[in-house]
Amino acid sequence: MAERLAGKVAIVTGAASGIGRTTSELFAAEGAKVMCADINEALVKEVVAGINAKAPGAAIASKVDVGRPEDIERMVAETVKAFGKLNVLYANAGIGDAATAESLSIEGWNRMIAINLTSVWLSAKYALPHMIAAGGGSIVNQSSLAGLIGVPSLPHYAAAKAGVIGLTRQIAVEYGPKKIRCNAICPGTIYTPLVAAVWDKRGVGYGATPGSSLAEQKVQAGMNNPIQRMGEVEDCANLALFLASDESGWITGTAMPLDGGRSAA
Amino acid sequence: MSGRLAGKVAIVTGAGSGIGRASAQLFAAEGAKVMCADINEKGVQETAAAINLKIPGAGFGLRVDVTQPEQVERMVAETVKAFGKLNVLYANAGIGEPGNAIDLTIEQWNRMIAINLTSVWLSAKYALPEMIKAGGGSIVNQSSTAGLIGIPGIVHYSAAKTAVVGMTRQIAVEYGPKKVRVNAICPSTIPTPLVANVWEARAKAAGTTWSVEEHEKNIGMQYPLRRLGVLADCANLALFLASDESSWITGCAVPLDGGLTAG
Repeated sequence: MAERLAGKVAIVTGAASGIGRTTSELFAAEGAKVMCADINEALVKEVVAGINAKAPGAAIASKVDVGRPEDIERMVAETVKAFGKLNVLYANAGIGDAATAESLSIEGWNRMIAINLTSVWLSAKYALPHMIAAGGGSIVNQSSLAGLIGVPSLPHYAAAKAGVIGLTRQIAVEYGPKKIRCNAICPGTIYTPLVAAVWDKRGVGYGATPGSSLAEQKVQAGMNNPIQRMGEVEDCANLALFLASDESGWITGTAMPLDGGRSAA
Repeated sequence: MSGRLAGKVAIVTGAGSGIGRASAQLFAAEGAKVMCADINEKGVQETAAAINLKIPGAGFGLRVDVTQPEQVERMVAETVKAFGKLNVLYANAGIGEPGNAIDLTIEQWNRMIAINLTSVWLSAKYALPEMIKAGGGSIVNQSSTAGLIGIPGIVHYSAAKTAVVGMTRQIAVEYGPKKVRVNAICPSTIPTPLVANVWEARAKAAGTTWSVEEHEKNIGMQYPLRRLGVLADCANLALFLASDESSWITGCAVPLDGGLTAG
């Protein structure tokens, strides 16, 4: 069976844990060379070591703070230097936080917009010229269910993630003629370190009763969608793989719900 | 080979040509047993024969008029009889025909609704009990870009294809707890026999002639990706939605349009 990303070079941001980690591993298993970028240098190096143990030379690590434009520019340059080109960008890095529109501070707002929205544009800004030089490419941006429908306690997160969808459509339309595709993934709740941080701050998971155990909260949160389970990191990695690969060569500008049917209800 | 549909049994309607044929062949290549259904018996037997030539016993051809409830019921029963269960339904069969709101006749309307909408419900009606019995399944319904945005000259087609999106969401929400997923594919123009029919009818009505190749190229330039779709684009999306890789994706209407509806 031919590998689905054979011959491709990919960047995954937020690659040290959760969705980014699993996706990096899947991309490499499907034949890609992967730049694994994350602000957590120690952890992302572990991810890369794991990948290289199975596929020697398939991955490199870089300490990248996606809140810093110069880090993102360097990330792209290091990728091209190591692997010779760039075909795929998965702009996955992001943070979670809980607040209300009243309680949110301007610092909290600015930080969220910088990390969950501006970084996605910056990643595209520096990746696009190399993708055009390579004859085309695929950008996959991490949005969220909160980019499609209203979700309590996430005003800044919702704004940033909806912004990612608008940005995705715009880049798709503008760079389609250069054979660049750009799609957004809109996951519902997948239990990752990011979600854990939000739950920790709010004290309870989505739709869960206060005082319930973490395991109970996960089951209760899963009951919010028709498929009646929370998402797994593999669900997101599989969709990112499909969108990154040439199998989706005529799909661009879409915001793909990945939510067990939640946004259909 | 670790096929992406290994161990699955699938039905593909409209498998006698175009997208249905390409999808049936891809499903089989990825390990599925495939019931190939079409009103065009010759076409569907060709599809099944082509599959069985590569993978003996993987394809089954059946003449089915999807507007006839008893034939749809029989299609599902024959599938389970031949392959023992049902996991995947790709309700792809459909027709294309031009028409505007003033000139369309009630007969044209009723025929379009029967073939492009009612058949999709009927296919689900008979497939769902078998999928529930199998512990879950995936239904992929063929909608269209015309199910998402207005396109001149196809009033009845737009109504049917938009309704497919609504029904897809409804069945997804209702049968999600039984582990049945339902998604719709919304393709823009993919040159198939169906599309060629629409083009020819339009050209005839306008009293013009042009080469199909030139027409394809010209229309393709309207898309951000600067090309029309090809059969493999749709078959690949159907495969992803049919497979367990998309097991948390349901109730979606996925645009397959080179970016047309994004702009």
